[in-house]
Amino acid sequence: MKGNKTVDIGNLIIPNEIVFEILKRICAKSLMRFICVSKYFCSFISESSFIEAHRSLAAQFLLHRITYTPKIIIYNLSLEDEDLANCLVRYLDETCFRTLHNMQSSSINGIFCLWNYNGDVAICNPFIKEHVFLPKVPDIEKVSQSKIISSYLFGFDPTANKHKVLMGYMVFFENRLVHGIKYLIFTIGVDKSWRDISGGWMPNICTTNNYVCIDGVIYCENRFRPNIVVISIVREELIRTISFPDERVLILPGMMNTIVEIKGQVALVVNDKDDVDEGFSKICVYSQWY
Amino acid sequence: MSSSTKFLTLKTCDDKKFVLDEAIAVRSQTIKNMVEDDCVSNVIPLPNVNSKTMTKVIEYWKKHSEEGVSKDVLMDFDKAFVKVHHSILHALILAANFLNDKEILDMMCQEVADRIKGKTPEEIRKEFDIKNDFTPEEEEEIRKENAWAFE
Repeated sequence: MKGNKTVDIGNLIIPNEIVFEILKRICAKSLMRFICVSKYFCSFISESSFIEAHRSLAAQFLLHRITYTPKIIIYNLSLEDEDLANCLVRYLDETCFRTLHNMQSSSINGIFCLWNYNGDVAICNPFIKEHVFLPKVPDIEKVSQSKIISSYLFGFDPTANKHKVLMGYMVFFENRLVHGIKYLIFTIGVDKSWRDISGGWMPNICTTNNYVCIDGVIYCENRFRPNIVVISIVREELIRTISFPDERVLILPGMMNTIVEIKGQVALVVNDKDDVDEGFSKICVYSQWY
Repeated sequence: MSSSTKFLTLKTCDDKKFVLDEAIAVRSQTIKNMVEDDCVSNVIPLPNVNSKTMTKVIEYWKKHSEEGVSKDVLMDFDKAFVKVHHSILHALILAANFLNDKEILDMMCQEVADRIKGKTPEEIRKEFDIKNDFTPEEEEEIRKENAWAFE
């Protein structure tokens, strides 16, 4: 680089908010290509506020539709951006994903994690219509589906800028537990196989989809105890549990209150029976956790 | 309010003057604010807009202020209006931004988006005269990183 001027005429005189306006109207597939136009484009498109504006809402919305609505109805839903929505729904309804639609699927930043109890997991980005199937866990390949119970939690590690899938599973043989719960983790785009991060006694997260991922930490329902499993997926990948500061929001197994994120903090939507009768639920926010 | 037409004089950066019906000129939020704040004595200076661009803007304003123009005619007009060289498109975006005319701005942003959406990074760089400031290694790395879903 011998002092070449890297002055970028377009970028210098077009204010950021206009670039934002223009790029917002461009489909994700094109945007992915534009990332390598220049450093400015790259940082602009990678900016979290832009990503949010562009696809998060659409993705969340669609996931709910796909999970809870018969397909035929989705196609007729009138959305603000109907073409986009239809095209995304059609993509997620493609044959290769048909067996993966269940209530446990989740999405982060517009990337979807679809899975089933046979050990199939697909990570897909319907905006650029690309997907990848994760390798099957060897244990699961060996035994038939009825002897495995599992859960896949989808998280995002903001420090490494990577999506990670955390899997908890147990294997049964002739109705007897072969081993306690194991935790495996898979970093999208980095790992080639699942890494075992379990050790000693582990809380049970199998079959749940009651969790949130905030700042690289997954907060998940514990299936058998009234507490919350906290799994850091940033670097150390630690698992521990936390109890409830308030006895009144005690979670009884099977009667879990929904874990949600509110402004970056973990919160519980408490379905207190007395309150529900009056027609509302409580929300408890905990800022002291983790 | 009197029904007599009030005229405003707009002066572009190249010292050309445009005399325009106030009712039309206030399509620009910027000008509207000036009028409402009573700070338009005689000439409104538009330091960021040249006469060529202003002519286009006024052409748009006039067409869209005409009475009894059908929707189809306006659509055809808009379609033709955005078919300009990208340097003019560029200037129109900046003018619309300065004049705070959301209608023109939205239309122009959509046009730019339509023009670039199918393009390759190389074409984008060429069209907008953007220098690729990545080293070949960096570019390769970025392409790989964003291809995670392709593996």
